[in-house]
Amino acid sequence: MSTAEAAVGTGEARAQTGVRPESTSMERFTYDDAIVRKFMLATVVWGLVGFVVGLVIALQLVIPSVVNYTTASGSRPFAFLGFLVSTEFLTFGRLRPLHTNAVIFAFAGNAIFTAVYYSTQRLCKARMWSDTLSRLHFWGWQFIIVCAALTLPLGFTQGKEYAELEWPIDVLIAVVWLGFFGTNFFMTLKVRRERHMYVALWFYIATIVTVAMLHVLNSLAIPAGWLKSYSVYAGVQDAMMQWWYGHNAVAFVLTTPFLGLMYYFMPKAAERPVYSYRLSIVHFWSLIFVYIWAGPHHLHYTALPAWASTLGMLFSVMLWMPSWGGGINGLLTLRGAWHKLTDDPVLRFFVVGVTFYMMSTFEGPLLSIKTVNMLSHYTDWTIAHVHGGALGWNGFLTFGMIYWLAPRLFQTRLHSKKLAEWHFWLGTLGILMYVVPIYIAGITQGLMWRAFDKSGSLQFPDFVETVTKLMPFYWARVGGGVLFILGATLMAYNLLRTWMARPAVYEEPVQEAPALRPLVETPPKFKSRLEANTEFSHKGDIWLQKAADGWWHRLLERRPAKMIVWSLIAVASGSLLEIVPLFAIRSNVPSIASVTPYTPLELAGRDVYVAEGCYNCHSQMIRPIWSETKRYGDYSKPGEFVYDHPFQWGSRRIGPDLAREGGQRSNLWHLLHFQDPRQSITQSIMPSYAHLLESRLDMGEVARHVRAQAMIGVPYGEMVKEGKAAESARAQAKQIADDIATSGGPTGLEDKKVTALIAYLQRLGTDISKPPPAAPAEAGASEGAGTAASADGAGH
Amino acid sequence: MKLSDVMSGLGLAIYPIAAMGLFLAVYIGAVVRATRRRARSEMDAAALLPLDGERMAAGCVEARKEARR
Ligand code: HEC
Repeated sequence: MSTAEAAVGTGEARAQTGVRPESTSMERFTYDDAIVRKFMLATVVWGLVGFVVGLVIALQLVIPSVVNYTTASGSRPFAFLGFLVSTEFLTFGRLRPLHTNAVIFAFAGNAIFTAVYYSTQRLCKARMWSDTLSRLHFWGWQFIIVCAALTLPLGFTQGKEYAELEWPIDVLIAVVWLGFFGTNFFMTLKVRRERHMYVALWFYIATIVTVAMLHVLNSLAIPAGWLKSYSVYAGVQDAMMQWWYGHNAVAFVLTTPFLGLMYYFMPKAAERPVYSYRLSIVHFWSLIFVYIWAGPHHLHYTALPAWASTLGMLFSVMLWMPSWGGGINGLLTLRGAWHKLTDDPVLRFFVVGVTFYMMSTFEGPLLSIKTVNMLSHYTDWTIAHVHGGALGWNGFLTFGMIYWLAPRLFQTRLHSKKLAEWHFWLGTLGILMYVVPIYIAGITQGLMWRAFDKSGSLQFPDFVETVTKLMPFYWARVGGGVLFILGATLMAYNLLRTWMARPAVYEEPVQEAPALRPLVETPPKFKSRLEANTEFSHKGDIWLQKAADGWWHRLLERRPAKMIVWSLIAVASGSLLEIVPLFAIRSNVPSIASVTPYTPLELAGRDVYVAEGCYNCHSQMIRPIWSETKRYGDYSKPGEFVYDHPFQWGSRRIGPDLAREGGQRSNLWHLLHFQDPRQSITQSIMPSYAHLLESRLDMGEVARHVRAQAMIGVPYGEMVKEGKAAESARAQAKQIADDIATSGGPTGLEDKKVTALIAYLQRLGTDISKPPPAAPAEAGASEGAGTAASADGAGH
Repeated sequence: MKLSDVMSGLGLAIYPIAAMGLFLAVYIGAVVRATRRRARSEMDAAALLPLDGERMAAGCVEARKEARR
């Protein structure tokens, strides 16, 4: 039996670990496991919700192909499923953000809190600082999730991926995260009874500090009502901010806290210390240093300046090393215990989870290389990558932790190891059945988009052809998802049964540990090695010796406050380097004279576009790639987006790019297409937006939104005056409605949302081919863009 | 007045580079520290922290015994 094994579960462990007690007076305390139980329950419940919503949106992409299926006798047996692609609150554009938010912030979020609340108390040998804050944190977070689940399907969104929640909820997040969680955590560190802060705690610190910073900076917005706001950033800068945030959400919500979890629970489950503690330290600093720079790799070949995306690529490639270092460190923790894998589901979940981590962190850098990205971007390859990470790494690590915790928290044995094993196999199979077909789908579609025939024209000019091709893979994904959910349901049942076998009253064993005496750090005695020299040089030499000895860093490891400051500096310095030049150096966003603000009606249409989440399926960013300019028109320029608060470049093309949609189709075509896309394009998988033909535009709101935009610097001039915006919007809406009516469409659309949306679409990408205005930009005062609809726009 | 007008007026371009230098120094310090031989015993002790025992509830002890069998 190794020292480590002997140490487990006995009161005498301290003596063996070599961490000497610093005083003889023992203090007594208990751990708060009730809060851990709560967070664990929330993890399981929200996990299931998030997975099921994922299944629903996966179904929405295949349902349209069967809804119209007609038998020989003329009946349509699957027509009843049509509600999934036509109900206002259930459309893909609204549910997809609900899925991502639920999985990232509700499932992974609560899993993180479960891990943090359990391990921090033990690593600090202290109860959480305040039970009240723990509870406020728990209920506050669940309340936020409920708010998200209500507002997102109703179409209240800021329109930025993974940061969709509207500003009041954002404020709440900041309060709960920093005010309740952060305060409670850092105060617990302060009152800890163990001098050294174990590396898991460092990962938690970095998480708390960085997420707060990311969240606040990316969410800065001007409110335009209780549930509406506009990002203060526009276009290229907003895109940069968003992906700085987006990528670091991956880093500091889905990676660092889970590494903390790994470094605590892997050794626990394997009953041996981590393979190499020093590697874990290098791992930590490398990750927080490098990750923060990687964001721009989401924006290759876009209107983002090339230097920024190249920087992002270089740092992303560098990330591969520390990530694998960490992964190997995790796996080798099992050294000499590999045989345990055969009968311990916990370890099996961990090992497969870490393996997925290594796969994802190999693939991530690969995807960030520009030439690979050229193919992969906007395709399902990204979706496959994300799900390898989320289901494999975050999911399996969480499941492993839960199976390990359940018997300890419910103080009885796990109801069924057999069921846990079933969960493991169903989960693994489910992930593979999801990820592999979706890879193939991604690469297939990417290749189809850029295929040319012998005459030099696009081989698949019809976008929808490249969609129809993916249906078999999408069906396979549905199957994979079902298996994964089945596994998770088994876990929920297993936990329920375990909970039912709990003791009548939970025991709260009293722990003992000596109090920490205030730290009197006597620096090791160093003497200057220099002879006759200035005082300054002597001091310098001593400083150097201390540095080489690692004395400074040792101090850091013991002082949470310093640790926070340094990790903040680490992430902030990377961010500064990435973001400041984009704001500070004008030439990075050359302005284009003919680009003017949206008219009030177009702005209202843009609001509809954002609210419906069209960006979940459509990009608005044509890359300077031959196949792309051929398909969509001239590539996008940074200057075209200067009035886009928020930017709507998108990240996945389930439908075609819309950056130059203006003038491509008639107003009537758009109208009929929104009413029922399958009327126009039989195989379309776009949802029906018939409700937009019914719901009315609120003119008071239009004026309010124009004023809010003017406040963040959009030159609206006269338009902000009382009545002006509404007047302009009415006039333009009438033009479009009349055009639709005279083309043989329905009448009475002048006050409907769909009219605004059409006005917006007809404007998209047209400014660049207009002559620059004579006078300085005066929004909306110019022509009603709606009239450009039919004839001329077709030939860019 | 737009945000970028304000930002460009501030002459910020030097700060990020300074910040990077600063961090790089800390980073190298940390790595050097971690790889020093002196740090070894300390690290071995730290690595054992998660395995430090605690008093367990009776139910857990029973369950563990059962699992071991
Ligand atoms: C589920 C993904 C999805 C969502 C959500 C979605 N679309 Fe589409 N869209 C598609 C697909 C697929 C096509 C291609 C087939 C077709 O034309 O119907 C398409 C086509 C289009 C076209 C036709 C482009 C052209 O000229 O051929 C327009 C315009 C459009 N969508 C606008 C929108 C708007 C506006 C929204 C939000 C209100 C939206 N879409 C939401 C998937 C989606």
